[in-house]
Amino acid sequence: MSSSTPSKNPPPGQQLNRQDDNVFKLVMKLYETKQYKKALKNVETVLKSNPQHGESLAMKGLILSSLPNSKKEEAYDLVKTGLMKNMKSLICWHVYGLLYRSDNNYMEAIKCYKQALKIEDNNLSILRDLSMLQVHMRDLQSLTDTRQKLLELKPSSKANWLGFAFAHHLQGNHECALAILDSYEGTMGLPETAYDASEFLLYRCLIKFESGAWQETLDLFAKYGNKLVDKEYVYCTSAECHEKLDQWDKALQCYKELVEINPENKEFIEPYVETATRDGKKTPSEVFTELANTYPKSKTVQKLQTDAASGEEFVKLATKMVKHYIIKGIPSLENALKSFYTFPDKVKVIEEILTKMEKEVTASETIEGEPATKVTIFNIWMGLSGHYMRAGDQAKALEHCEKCIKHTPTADSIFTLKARILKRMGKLQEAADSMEEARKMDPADRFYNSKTAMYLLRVDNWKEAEETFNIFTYKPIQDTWPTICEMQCMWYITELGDSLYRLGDVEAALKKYLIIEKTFKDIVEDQFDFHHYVTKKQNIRAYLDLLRFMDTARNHKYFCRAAAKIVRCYLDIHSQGEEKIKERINQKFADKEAAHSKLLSKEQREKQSEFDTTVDYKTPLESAQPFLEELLKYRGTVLASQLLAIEFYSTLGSPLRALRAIKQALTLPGADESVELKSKAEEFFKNETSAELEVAIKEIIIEQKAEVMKAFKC
Amino acid sequence: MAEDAAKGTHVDPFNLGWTEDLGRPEHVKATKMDAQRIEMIRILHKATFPVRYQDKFYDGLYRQADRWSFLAEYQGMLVGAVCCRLEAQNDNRVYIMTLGVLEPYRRIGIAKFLLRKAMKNACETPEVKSMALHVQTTNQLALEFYKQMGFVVHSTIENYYSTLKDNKAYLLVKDMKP
Repeated sequence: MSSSTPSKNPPPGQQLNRQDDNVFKLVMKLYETKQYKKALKNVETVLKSNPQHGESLAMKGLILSSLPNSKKEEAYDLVKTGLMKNMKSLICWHVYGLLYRSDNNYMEAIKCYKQALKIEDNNLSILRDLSMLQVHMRDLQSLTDTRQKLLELKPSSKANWLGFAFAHHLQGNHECALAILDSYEGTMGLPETAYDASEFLLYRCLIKFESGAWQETLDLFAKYGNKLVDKEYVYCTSAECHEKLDQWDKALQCYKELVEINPENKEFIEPYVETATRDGKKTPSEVFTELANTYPKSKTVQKLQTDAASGEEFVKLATKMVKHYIIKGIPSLENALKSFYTFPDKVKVIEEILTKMEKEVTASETIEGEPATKVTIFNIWMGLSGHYMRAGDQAKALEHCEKCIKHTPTADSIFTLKARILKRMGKLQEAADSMEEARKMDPADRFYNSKTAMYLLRVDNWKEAEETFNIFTYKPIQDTWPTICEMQCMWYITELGDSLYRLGDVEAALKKYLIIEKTFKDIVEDQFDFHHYVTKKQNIRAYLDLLRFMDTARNHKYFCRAAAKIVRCYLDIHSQGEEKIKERINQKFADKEAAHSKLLSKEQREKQSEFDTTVDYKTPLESAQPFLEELLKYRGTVLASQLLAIEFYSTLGSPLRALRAIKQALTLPGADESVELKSKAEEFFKNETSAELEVAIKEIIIEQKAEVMKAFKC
Repeated sequence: MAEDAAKGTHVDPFNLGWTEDLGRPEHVKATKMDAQRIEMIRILHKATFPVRYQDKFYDGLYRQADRWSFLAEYQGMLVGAVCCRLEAQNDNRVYIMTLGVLEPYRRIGIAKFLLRKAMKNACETPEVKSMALHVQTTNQLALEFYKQMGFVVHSTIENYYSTLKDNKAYLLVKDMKP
């Protein structure tokens, strides 16, 4: 803001005398250095003698909004009043924009900045702020214009060059972006440090690659050689380029280098093996054997090798794997083997291996010829327990669990396994008890703590769940819930919502799920700081990753799960009506919340209210629709999403969209055998063909009915 | 040997044929008592003793017992423990409250190892004059065990174990000073 100049030719009453003007300039400086209390004092001094001074009024509003416990309304009123007094003031518009920005109201902020630019179109500070807003809102064309302006005004700033190139890149103008980078390098040279220079060159390579110029990208990699520090990226991208150019040998060479860099990385090993076996000259088994010999310590290679094996080879490799886990006493054997359980013949092999080991240890105290210890039989029983759990025989799994517990009751890991088995049997209270036993045995283990809290929520025991969770927050118990929300502990929030829904309290459940949405909003909002940060650090590649991640952040499973549940809750509200829903508010939970509230201090109450969300009782379906659409966007290939869509659109009164969902669902694998889908389709056709619809729509539905119902195989 | 005796760090202070590692069995490690382990010790006791100790026994256990007690880990699992406390009221004797090992891990020398550790620890502290414990008079195995380790019968107490049928106990004692 220091480059803002007070407006030229201000309206009457808006010009300050020299003394007051100096104080006003001081106010601006104090604001920029975050000395808000001092700034406030000084601006009040100016206002005392110039109560109608628009710019001071605006500054006062801005300063007030930056203080803790600020009243937003008062701030906005002051700024608006100030602006009205001096509409041609750059400072007033800038301040207004800053105020909107601090409220995350970016659209309005952009408008204010644009107004400010009308008054002074070469104000660097305003242009910079505007560019950040534009990239945040992904208004790429405007961003490019702003960035161009900035570069023209201050071509000595490296950030302006990169920013301009970046804007063109985001728009897809690769040639343009590359030309700008060339110009930049020509005038400014490469950055000084080796790492920064490498990042600059890699950015150029990245743009080249994204423009589809495979050979040129490879040429650049060759040209820059060791100047490029991020070897992994170079090899990965080179491999892709070679593949696009059908140069499979060279691609294989790249993957080889990658595996050499990190032989435990699945993402390097899998393409390596795929490429090596492409021409059919070698089998996967042979390639894996080579890899295992070159990298004998790599657990990932072993696992993938075992995955790819069959028959005798599988038996040999699986035995080796199981033996390692049993001898070392690693509790997670069933997790390591889990990918095998979709193959019934492999399941049988695992069982044979473990029972054979059991017999050997019992008979001769050896395991595969090596001496067994006192714990070996315990490990085998635990392995068998986990195996049966994965295979679906929970009773047998529990049996072996009990053998283990009788043998060594101080082994906490077996109680965790027991809890999981009980959960799969549907015995949720016993599962929670077992998990609590494990937790008590190792109270310092945060995983046990979280899992216990989760299992307690599953049996609707919120009090104990919160008390358990609280052990690791190191705060008083009343602060636990705000801490959970602050920490963005989404599994807890969702589980609590599920529990409330189970007990029939739709409103409370919905409020929790909406917190998940708020969390994702916050996550996406958080990128704002980086728009400024990147101009200093110039790590464009990482910044690009961040922006692209943010664009589809809601693809995350936590959001999609919550979205489906939000739609369900709103459907319930629509069908039952506000009164009925409010009637069923879970009294226990409401009482607990009320009791909690009484114990809170004012600050704590304010903190809790930060995470309050509101339920839309007036237009539930309207509120739910965006969630459904996002769910279909990200999880459209999941049958459950389409089933929900059918129900929703039928309820909404959009039969054609429901029909589209049915047809979409039928394209999914296995859908034609889904009894649920068939019955939903039948219901749909029954309802819609007898409903009062527009003739044209009804015709379409009747026409489609035969074709759709024919597709079912069940 | 003489210097060791003077320093109080003699490997075999009671001349019972101890080796430097105190007969540590294979795969076994001795660790000090840990406040986090109290629940595990409670489970260990439940599995190894007929007597049920009350909650307040465990509540105070760490506070009074941590200096004098040892836990035995077999390949990372807690399989045995010797819990002792210093009794200033009994002329600074270290009293053994419990010594137990889980069934599958017995007869490989863990109990002896734990007791040696406790005894060595006690005799290296100058103020400690003796060690003592109570044993059911019918528990032949235990009596043999402690006699081998140099403990002698001091006296008999009637009705010591109020909850058990065989309620008589011997008080076994070992002098820490030669």
